[in-house]
Amino acid sequence: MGKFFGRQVTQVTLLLRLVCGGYLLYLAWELRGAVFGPERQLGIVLAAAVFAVAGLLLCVFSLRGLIRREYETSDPEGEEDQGSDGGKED
Amino acid sequence: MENTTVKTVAQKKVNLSMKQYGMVLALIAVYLIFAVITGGKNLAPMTVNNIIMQNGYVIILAVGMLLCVLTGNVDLGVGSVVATCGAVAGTLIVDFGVSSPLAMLASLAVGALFGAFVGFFVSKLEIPPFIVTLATMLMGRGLCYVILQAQTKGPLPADYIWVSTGFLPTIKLGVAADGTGGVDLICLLVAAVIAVLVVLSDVRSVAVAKKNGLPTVHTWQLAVKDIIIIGIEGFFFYKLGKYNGIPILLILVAIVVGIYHFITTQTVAGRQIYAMGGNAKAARLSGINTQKVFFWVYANMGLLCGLAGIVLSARNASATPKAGDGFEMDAIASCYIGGAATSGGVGTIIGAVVGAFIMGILNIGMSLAGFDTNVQKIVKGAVLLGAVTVDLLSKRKKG
Repeated sequence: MGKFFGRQVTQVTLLLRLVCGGYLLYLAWELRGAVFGPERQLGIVLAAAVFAVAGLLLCVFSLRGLIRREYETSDPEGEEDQGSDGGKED
Repeated sequence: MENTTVKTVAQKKVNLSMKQYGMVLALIAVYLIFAVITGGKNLAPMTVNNIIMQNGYVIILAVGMLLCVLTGNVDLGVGSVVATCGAVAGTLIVDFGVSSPLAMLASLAVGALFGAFVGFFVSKLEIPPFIVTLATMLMGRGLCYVILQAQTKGPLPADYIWVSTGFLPTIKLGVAADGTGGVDLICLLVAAVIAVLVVLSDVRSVAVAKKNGLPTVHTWQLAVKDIIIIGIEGFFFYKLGKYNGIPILLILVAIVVGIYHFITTQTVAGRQIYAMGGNAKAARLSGINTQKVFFWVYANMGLLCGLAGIVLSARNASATPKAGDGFEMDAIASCYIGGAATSGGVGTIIGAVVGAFIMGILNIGMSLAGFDTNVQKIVKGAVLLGAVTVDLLSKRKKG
């Protein structure tokens, strides 16, 4: 899944994808009335299905990326930097 | 020999960046599609005027949000801060009889305080902006309810709402005998001045590129670009001229956009923000005070929230506790639609403004077309899905 998200994602990118995924799920939920109602339209059913699947995928993989820390840290005080910086400052 | 080399390089031609101008074409496409769907309703002067009136505060917020996005972060609290700033101004005017200018200053001060609060936690305590701004989102909304005591404060006086509803004086040409019709001369003059500036700007950039031996864009491409841009602004000002002239809000928005465009493209501070978004570590090692940049980016966002709060409450002629709901998403979406990257370091003020206009035209177009709420949700979801797909694909290419 690392490849799916690419290598250059930041934590904020993953968080935003999580928010987008959540919003797509919300939209799919909002469309439920038209999907299960008496006047069912194929376009709305399809859209709701696409939003639900895409939202779910985005949420799951973004959350997984965040939990597994599969993102680049742009923190200037990162662990790797501290050693070299410390050396320079000394 | 040296002269020959310089001449060869100077004559090299490159194509216009479609990434940069693709959004303008998308804006035209969306507008034309809705012109067909609505039977030309969105071409009416009043609708064109409403595009700026209904999206002025989104543009102001998108400008501030772009700076946050450039650093690789976002501000989730803008909607609540906008509501709180409007609430402060509304309460001061209605309950305490404070004059409008003083209430506006108070609103700006509250916005700046909120921004400084976020900036302090982000820069000094190094708490992720996502968390801090989530906190201001909740705090701001709560504070807004407390200030307004869950009530709507209004009506606000005429000199306050003038900011969002006022127009410059007009000099109408071609008015019919019954007093209808005609076009505002000032609008036409402004359109002409902008057209001249657009052409002069391109002539200057080509001259500078040639002088420095840099490749220049094909002349025909520059001409097409200028014709399109001048066409858009000419159409826009002509329609405004057919309505009530230039709105005060448009001047306010133009000043904000102009200032921040200048800051991001011509100043050291702007370069530092881009550098931070590109690579924070490299920026810090090259001497940029990243803490200071973070602080000012968020303090500035707060100040612009104060301005947006004034504009919003002036448009509604009242301060309401639910104002600004979801504005953070509109501002963030405007930046990303306008070509900003989620990883930071990429994006322009003009791009964010174009993004805000695309969203505004979509919203107004769907309302005019009489789309039911389900179809509106599908369109919004499709736009979001498209943006996420573009983001994912661009990351895969880079990866």
